[in-house]
Amino acid sequence: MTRTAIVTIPRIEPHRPPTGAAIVAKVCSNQGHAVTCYDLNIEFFDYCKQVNVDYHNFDSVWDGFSDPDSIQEQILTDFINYWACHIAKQSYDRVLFSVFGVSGIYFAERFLKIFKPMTTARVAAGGMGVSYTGLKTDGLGFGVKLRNAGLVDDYLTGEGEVILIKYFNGEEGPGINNDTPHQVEDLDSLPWPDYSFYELDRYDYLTNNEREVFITGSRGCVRKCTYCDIERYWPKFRYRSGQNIADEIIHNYEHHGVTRYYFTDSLINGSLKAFRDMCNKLAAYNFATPIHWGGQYIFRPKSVMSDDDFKMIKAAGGDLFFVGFETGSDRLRFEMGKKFTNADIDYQLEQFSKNRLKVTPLMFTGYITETPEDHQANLDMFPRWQRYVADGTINGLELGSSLIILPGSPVERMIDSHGLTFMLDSNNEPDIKLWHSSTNPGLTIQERIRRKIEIHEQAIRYAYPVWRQAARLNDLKQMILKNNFHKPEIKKKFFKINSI
Amino acid sequence: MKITQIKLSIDLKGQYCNHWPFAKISVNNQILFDGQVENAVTYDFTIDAIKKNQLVIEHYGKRFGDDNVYDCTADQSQDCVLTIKDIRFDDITVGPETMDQMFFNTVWTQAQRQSMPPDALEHMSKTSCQNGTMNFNSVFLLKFETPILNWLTVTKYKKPAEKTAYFSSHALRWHYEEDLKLIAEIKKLIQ
Repeated sequence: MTRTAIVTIPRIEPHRPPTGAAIVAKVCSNQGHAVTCYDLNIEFFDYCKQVNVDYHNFDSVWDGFSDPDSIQEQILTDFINYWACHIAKQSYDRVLFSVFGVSGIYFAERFLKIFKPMTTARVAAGGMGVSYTGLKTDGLGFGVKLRNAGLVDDYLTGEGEVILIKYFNGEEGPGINNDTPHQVEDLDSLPWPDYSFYELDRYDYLTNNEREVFITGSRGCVRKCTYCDIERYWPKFRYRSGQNIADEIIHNYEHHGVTRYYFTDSLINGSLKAFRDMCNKLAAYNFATPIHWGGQYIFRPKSVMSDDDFKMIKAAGGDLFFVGFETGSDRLRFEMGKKFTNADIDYQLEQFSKNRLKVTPLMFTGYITETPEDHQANLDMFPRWQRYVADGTINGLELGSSLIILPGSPVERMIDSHGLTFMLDSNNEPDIKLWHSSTNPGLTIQERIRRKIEIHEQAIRYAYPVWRQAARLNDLKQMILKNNFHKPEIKKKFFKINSI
Repeated sequence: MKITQIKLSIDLKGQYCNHWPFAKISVNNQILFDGQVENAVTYDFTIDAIKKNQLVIEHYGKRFGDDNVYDCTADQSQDCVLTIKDIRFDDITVGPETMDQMFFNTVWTQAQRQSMPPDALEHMSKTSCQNGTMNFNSVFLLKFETPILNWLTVTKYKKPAEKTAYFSSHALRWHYEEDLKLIAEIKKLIQ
């Protein structure tokens, strides 16, 4: 029997067990493998507690804003050495690494450099992180880089449910050692994640130790927001039936006592039909303990969502939704590809409030074409919707970083039309965070920082529940220090001139 | 002194025994209502609020043997009781998050002082506002500030910085100290 280890790495949210790896575990198990799962993310979370260091402060390391400080470096080294040795000693036949996204790249590279020479197992990496490429790197992804460096034997892109079986059978084709992702059409036919491979009581559940797991209702997105790179990984939007999603929720409730669910979907209500079907099924099921669920959700025009829709969401257990407001400027929001207005937000917030649904708006400053008037519209959002903070409807606010030109996103294709130029990072590659647009010369790096700070101050002025505030600001500070923006000669060169 | 006009709504419920309960409502010592509360009623006021304010709701006039009259029966099948069902500022409730943390201060009648043992007087000098019921003559004092929406938010939702989820920032919402420190540092760096 093939002995297979499945390894999840930081950073993913510590609030729920990893869903991608739980699917991979199920697929391997179905293939007759003896499966062991290692969630090194939750191990690292616990290790940080043990050594009294803030796990979330590593965010700036995972996101590339800063290098680890000396204490973090020691902790990482000790942790990686221990787990690399431990897993290598078990002499597995196969070791599969799940690299969730860009935030997993740093750890993956460091871990594999230690681990690979120690093991005789066939090592593969999968997950969205292996498809990551830097800007203008001729399409070479992280998976290729790992393989070329001898840190993995293989890498898998796209959806693992089908690819893995082909891979185990020695087949070649889309998704196996190439960057042509394999997409599955019928999501209802795929196995559900199997959480029995994980110790469910270890996770940092956000609500009174109620068990919570991820659930995936769709892949891809119905929108093509200009700043988002989702189409790079999942070009086509596909979704499960409402019945199939409801069945999985009921299964996890009945078998694992899970009462909270977080959807991984780009938009939980991307398909309104499937969403409404799911809500109807869940509302009709007799849960002895009420369930709650949430995820990323899109506000839609008032004409599309009726009062009854919101009542049904509540009756089905809908609870907390993360909604990309992005900006307070209608003009800018439409330019980004979002198709709703501030008036639509007014309506949805009122409905959320009436039905005791909660929302965490997601927003960022410094879009390529953002003008001072747009920035003022951002500032105006805060008093406009403050009453929904006071009544508990808005229970979080994510103030993201300034616009990042993500590879594969529509804004990457606007580099020429907007005259975007980039600073080079330490690897002499364009830094996707530090750009300048010749068509909007007033929006310098300094101006973007100033606007972000002003937005943050406005959020505090109106008592908004800013989420992970200190960590986000610390990222910004580290970025300034790392690039020496505080030094007069650099400040003059990169802040004041129009072309970088 | 900056004055802000705020809509104040108070839902009260009176329970009858010999008479309806007497209530007095005042803000910053200005009496807004003084009279009997019959059944369920909502009082709406527009108040002039300054930075720091006091809302007082008093239940008075209930007899506990004074003049040999009891405004409650021995089996409590009838009882003269005032209940605060809700308090809203600009249509937003102070909510159970606020009420559950507060206490009614009992105002003992002379008859009660004479008939009840000292430890009982001491023990019941404060009663929880959790269900809003004022069984005794008592005073409810709510100190509130403007801007009212900021006050409501922080009062209802800000929790001590102890983390419910270890090292998660969920419980650190509205703890802006670290933000302000970092903002000052960043401003200094880029000025």
